[in-house]
Amino acid sequence: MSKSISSEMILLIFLVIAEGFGYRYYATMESSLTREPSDSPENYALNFFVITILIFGIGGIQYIVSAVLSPMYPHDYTNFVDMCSMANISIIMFNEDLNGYYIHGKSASGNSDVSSEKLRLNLEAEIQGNATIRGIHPSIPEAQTFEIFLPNKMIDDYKKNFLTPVMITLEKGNKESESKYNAVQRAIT
Amino acid sequence: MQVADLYDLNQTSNVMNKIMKKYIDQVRAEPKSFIKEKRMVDRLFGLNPVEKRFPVMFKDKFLPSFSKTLLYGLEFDFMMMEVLIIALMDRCNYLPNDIQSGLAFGVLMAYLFDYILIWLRKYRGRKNLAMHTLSDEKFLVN
Repeated sequence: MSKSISSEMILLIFLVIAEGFGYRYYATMESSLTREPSDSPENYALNFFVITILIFGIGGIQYIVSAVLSPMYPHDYTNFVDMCSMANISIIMFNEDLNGYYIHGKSASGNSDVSSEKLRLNLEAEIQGNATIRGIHPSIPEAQTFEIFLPNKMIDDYKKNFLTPVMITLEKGNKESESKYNAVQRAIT
Repeated sequence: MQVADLYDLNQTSNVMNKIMKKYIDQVRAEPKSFIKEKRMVDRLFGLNPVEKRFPVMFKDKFLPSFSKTLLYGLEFDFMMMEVLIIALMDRCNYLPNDIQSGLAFGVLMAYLFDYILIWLRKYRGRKNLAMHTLSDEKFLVN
């Protein structure tokens, strides 16, 4: 659960700029921009405008800085895709019934059930270009993450072969626990 | 829950894994037919492809699309929420009360809302994952 920007940082900097440096007084109904409190009332629309500009300005700068630094400090999603590749595991996540995301996690060396030493050697081989591609197909070697739209039949298969048996087993387990709990209750009372 | 039940569930997930792999392998075999690039019109109007037999995939361009599930891509929504909360609290401060700075109070409320939302998402997300995840025995990440 992470973001490229930090809400705490945005709010803190916003407070310093708006309240500390007095930029909130830009929203007062004065003919000139002032950062000092005055007797003029604040304009609600201007107030909203000042808050929006400051928050989005600070957030936008943070976003750009985070994007610039991402090659040195990779985001969590980059690490996750790398980990999937290393583990040789592909993932489908469902967002809605027929829509989701697919991560093609294919180890460039072909396998991942190896010792850490072999894993290190595999990575070195990959750096030197002596490994296969991580992407889904040689025509698109970099493509590892996709938005996926599934056919109805695939979802029906998923529901029939997986979700329904899981739900039935869970329900059965719950009923068993409930009956055991009731038996204990009866024994106590 | 009995051990036999768990064994059955494991068998079920193995069968499902194989079915899923079959679909993806078909896409890999014919990338030109099933791997596409999303057009601007599709993005603007949220048009989704209809393919009855196999999945259709869209390559990600800038950010991986799945990053939305990790809150990436929702930054500007969070910022908008913060703006609205701060503006609302500041506006409410015109009513008679003892709060010195409506803006600081708004910031505090925005922080709390952010925190609660993220906590709720984590809590509900964990339950949802536990219920629906179909994972290979090799997958060790919790």
